[in-house]
Amino acid sequence: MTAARPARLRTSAGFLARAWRYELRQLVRTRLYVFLAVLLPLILASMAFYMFRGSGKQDPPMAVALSAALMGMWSSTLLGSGNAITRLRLMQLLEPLVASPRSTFLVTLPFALATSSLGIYGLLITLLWSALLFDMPLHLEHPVLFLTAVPVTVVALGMLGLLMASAFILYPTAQSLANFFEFPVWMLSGMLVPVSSLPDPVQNVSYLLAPTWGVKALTGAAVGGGDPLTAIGMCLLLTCFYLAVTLLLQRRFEWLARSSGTLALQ
Amino acid sequence: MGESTAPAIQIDELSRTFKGPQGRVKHALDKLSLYVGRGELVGLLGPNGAGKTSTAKILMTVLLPTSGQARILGHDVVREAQAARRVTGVILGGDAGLYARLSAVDNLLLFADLYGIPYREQKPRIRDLLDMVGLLGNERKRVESFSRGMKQRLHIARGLLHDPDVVILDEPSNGIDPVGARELRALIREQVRGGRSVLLTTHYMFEADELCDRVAVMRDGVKIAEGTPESLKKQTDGQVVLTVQVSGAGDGDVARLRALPGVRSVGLAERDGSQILDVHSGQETDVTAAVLAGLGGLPVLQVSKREPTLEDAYVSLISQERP
Repeated sequence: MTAARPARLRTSAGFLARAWRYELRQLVRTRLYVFLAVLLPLILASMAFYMFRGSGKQDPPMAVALSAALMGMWSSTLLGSGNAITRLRLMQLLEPLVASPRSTFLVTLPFALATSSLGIYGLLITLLWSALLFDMPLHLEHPVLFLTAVPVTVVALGMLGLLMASAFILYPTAQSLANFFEFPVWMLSGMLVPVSSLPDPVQNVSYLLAPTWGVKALTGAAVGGGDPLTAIGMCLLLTCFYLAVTLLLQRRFEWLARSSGTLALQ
Repeated sequence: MGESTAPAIQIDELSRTFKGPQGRVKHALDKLSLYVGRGELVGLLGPNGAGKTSTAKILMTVLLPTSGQARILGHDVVREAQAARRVTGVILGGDAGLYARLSAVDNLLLFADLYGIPYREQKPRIRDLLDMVGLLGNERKRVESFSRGMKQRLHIARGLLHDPDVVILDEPSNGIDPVGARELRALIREQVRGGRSVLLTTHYMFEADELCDRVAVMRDGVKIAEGTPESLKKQTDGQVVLTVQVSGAGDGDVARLRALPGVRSVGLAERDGSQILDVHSGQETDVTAAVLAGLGGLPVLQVSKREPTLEDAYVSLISQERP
């Protein structure tokens, strides 16, 4: 290893931390985003509680609240990652960033992490709304596992969001794809309906999605039952898989974008 | 070729095509060859759509050429893009391309990390650069509150952050006020004196005349002339420019004047609601009477004669008939 490599690793880590912080700062300075961040968890929590009450099912309120929170986290992560790349293109920053001697993956990762880590806020506020408005008891069955499951799920969601948003580097109009991916993932990952109620072939797809394991990990740790530790492990495994695929895809998409000249604002 | 002996920029037969509507192919660049020596400042001139920005983007490694080769300090911009990126500073024109909601110093810190500048060097280097571009005192303000000139100066600081040997300036003075543009030219000169090699794309002739060691003129993706500003001006030796300020002239009038005997080229520009016609002719023929008659009774506001400038040489080259 050359002497320059540790320094490059340090500045890469520094870039991640700094860009993550700046992206958070940019997001909280965007009035529309803040408005949505405050309102969306309330809407989703209300929707989930009224739907479950109406259905007559006996799911623990905490499980309902967590499903609503994960729906919000996924929406903000997917839309946030896609928006970040679209915003970079609109601000004519995508070209200078790609023209730097770092991988596109390093350039785009902080945006995914920033938007998904805002999901932690979404999770907390959903739980708070649920406790205040729907009398949900704030009791965790396995607090340590729950606190482990939260960041693991957040990172897994961020990576899945980044994997899907990678296409935005190549296609300036790919933002509309985000809407396409938003609701099916709610459905497939057990946020809206239990995975077991889906047809068998579809369940196989569900188990390839990190949010599915995120739901299992968070719910198992919060209300008991299931195997939250295995779910956390699966979440981590899938995150590594998404990471590898994203690295390959982004390298290819960057090449194609340079070839088609779509890095610039068209 | 080793980095130590390679030219700053070597472009060989570089072409780039884009597919347009209905599959029509547009040649943004057609077999461009260009050389920028160490410590040299070369200008790439041409009207909009001439291929200047495509050339700059290929050198920036954000656009791939369709064919041909470009090297920066010996590094191929396609196959060795990362190495080329490390030695190249990119300075874009315009007020975009920055994190508007962040401060100037935050913008620079982010790019310092991205370019792998060691932590202990980041803050002193950023302070020096902000001082050089005259932004000290404003470094904590959000970029969105900056004037266009201030944003351009921040672009320069960002482009020089990693102390690159080669700098690509893509129309840096676009939209800057005359005082800001003069300061910018002084800054560019300073960089070249410091040993950097610069490729400057511009459509401001006085800027190229003042700064460049050599200039290449492009039209429709093709290099149509290359040389020192003086040698290009010599192409207009023996010519005289008749400038007519007129009201209501259009392309039809330009075509009619171009067809007059003795007229070599005609340029048309708008100024304050009127039109300025620059009519190039040989010194041996006085075309004044024929030009005024050719305007067919349009109100003439002013008529004058002068020696040609680099801009006239450029206009003359650009307006020549396409082969």
